[in-house]
Amino acid sequence: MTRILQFFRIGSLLLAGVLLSACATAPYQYPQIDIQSLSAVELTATPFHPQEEFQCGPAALATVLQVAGVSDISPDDLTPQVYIPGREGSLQTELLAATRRAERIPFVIPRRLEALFAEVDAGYPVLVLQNLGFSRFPIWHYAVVIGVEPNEQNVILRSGTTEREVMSFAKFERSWRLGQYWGMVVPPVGQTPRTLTALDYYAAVAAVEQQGRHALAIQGYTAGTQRWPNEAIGYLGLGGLAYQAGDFAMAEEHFYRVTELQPRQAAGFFNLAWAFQRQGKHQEALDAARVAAQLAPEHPRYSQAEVLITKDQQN
Amino acid sequence: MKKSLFLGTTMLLSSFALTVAVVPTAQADIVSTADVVAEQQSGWNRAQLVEQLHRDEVREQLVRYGVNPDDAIARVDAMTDAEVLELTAHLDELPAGAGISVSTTVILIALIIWLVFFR
Repeated sequence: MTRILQFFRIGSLLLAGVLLSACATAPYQYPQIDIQSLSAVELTATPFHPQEEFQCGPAALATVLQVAGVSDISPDDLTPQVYIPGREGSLQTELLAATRRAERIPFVIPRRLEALFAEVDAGYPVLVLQNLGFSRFPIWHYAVVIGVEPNEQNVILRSGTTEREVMSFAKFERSWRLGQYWGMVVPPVGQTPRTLTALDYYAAVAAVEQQGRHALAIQGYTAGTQRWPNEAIGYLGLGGLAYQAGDFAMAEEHFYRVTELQPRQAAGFFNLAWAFQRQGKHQEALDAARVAAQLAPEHPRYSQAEVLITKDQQN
Repeated sequence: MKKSLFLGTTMLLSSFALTVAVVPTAQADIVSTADVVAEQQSGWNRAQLVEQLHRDEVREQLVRYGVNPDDAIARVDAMTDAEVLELTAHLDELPAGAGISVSTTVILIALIIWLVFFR
């Protein structure tokens, strides 16, 4: 028994080693970038908040939030929301959380330079995490990328006390790579970022819904269905919110759409069954529940759909 | 053995008690979009039973790092379950972006001087 455990332990160590070295030796992206495909862009209207000591998190976040239409927010408002005195800095997670508190949806972009440039090109400044030191002696820093100069191979940032910092692709990518290529955008309400997959987009919207910010979530799902009209999750989200608001007819409509778009996914049928049930359409509810159970016989929840609906009808 | 059994039972029972408190808004019938997305993304099922315990833990850690206790409550509330889980384990190691302070600059210069002249 212990032998097997040991085997696994060594195996996982080896795997970790491979993964870590893969990270360390991943090639730089910038030499592969097709310069011709990029256009020069600089979002000059982006506000600038020269940071006080340690306050680059609140400053950078205020910058992107203002661009997203939260015009009255200042770095000082954000300090009690994101700054951690004992760490003399701010965590990425808390920048995302504070964005939600400002009634905007934060999106973490794909970890690629092209994605970063595409978002800036779309008009969204990107808040990035940089490591200006070394991987062993990190100096973590948040800045906002506001422009690209493809011919000069430069990136333009609002950074710290520098209103217009120009960094070469190479220097910038070094710092961004050490920050694991982490960047976030905050589009104005009703707009979608350019580079996210539908699934990642909806994950960010669902996070907002989970926190009870329903109006914001409805706007997010609606914008998603306009961008990806044939992607089911947006309608699942709208249906869920209609259901929670007690509008079961509307919920039925959205969930029905989900089952049309994803006839082999149980989730749509499961929720459709409940929307029927709440309107007193018991037979339809049972039919939809049966389909859900047949589609996912192994799933702990969907497989019980008929049982759950029947139980509800008996009450 | 007995002790761990007792501990397990207590944790299980208390987590049931907490679940009721955690999901007051969503009705327990339809499946939430967040759950569906999470399943499609990674097959990850929301660990609802431990969620509240983890939230308390993250909040306490923030307070320990000097965050005002009232602020800490609102800050943890604005995080998703996945974010809370990430922070429970790693709050002290995750990068905290700060900007170049005087002290780090001094350390860096000292390091460079040391590297150049004393090695």
